[in-house]
Amino acid sequence: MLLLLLAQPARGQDTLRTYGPRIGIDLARFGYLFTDPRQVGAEFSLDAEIYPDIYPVVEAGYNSISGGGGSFDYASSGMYARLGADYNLLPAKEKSIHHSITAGIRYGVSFFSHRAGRIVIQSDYWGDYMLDSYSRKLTGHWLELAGGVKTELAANLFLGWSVRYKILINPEMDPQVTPRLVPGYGPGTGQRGFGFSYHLMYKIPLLKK
Amino acid sequence: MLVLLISCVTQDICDEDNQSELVVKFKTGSLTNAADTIIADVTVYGIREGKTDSLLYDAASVSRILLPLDPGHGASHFVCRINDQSDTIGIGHDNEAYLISYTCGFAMMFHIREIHHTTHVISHAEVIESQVDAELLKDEEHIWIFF
Repeated sequence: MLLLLLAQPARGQDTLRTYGPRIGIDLARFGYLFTDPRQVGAEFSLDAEIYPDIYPVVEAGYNSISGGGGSFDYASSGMYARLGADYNLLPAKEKSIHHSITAGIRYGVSFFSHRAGRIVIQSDYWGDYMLDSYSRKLTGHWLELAGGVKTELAANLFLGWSVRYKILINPEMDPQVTPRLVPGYGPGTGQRGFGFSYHLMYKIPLLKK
Repeated sequence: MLVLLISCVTQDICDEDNQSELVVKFKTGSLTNAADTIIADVTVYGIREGKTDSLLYDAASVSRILLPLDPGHGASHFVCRINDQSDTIGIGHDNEAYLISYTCGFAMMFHIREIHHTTHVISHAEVIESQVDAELLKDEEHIWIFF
């Protein structure tokens, strides 16, 4: 909401709207540098207002973690994609204003691999047993409810955020080793989770009407 | 642009057992008509290659014993001595490592395939529950040994 208050109406003299696909990046992924340096991530998005106030969305990215294990080596990495749509709840008082408050849903899928090494099975009686390594290729599925704000700071340039409530569909994807990270979803140890994205987007102005 | 970062740091402490133990219950009678029994003067130790014998139970009076299985091999062998008579018990098992938690690390899941024993004191043995993991439930029993 703060973004909407700070933003000036874009091109107040222009009552025509431009239409086209918006491409964006998630700036929140750079926050890993401060919140969890073990993680690396990048995410891109593509949406477009194909019907009034309805924005089909595709989001895709890469996410990895290394060193997530305590007494053992661990790494998880892979690609992910989310498909869904946002609905703009903000009634447009002026055609030229492109701000939005959205609610939406997503289906997410992640193709990733995780591996553990330096595994020690403790046995006080027989002696500790060292396991060579463990690795699996996995697919994760989840659903998201998303809500957020986007505002047009300059012509066709948008900034906004969204929060997401996530529901993991297949938490038993690896019964032996629950993934420390399901790329795009978060820790596989939780069947519910929250996410935050900070969007910087540019709209390619293909149509004006 | 205001960016507020809130982070929490917690100290992870493992409070779960990470060693899997086989629960052996002592019985009299038969599988369909079994009764609990307490056996006196029970001494148990594992047969460990290249290591000296180390007693798991020493002249104890017990109705059940907990036996650690060998995570590095597909079988574990024990000697059970009762009143100066000994039986050797061999337990064949498949081993599968699994993660308890990222704090506690890995443990071994054992799947019991078979059990063999000599019959000086022991009458027979039955596998009741073939899966042995590190989470030992109350009243969990894996093998009944009959006398």
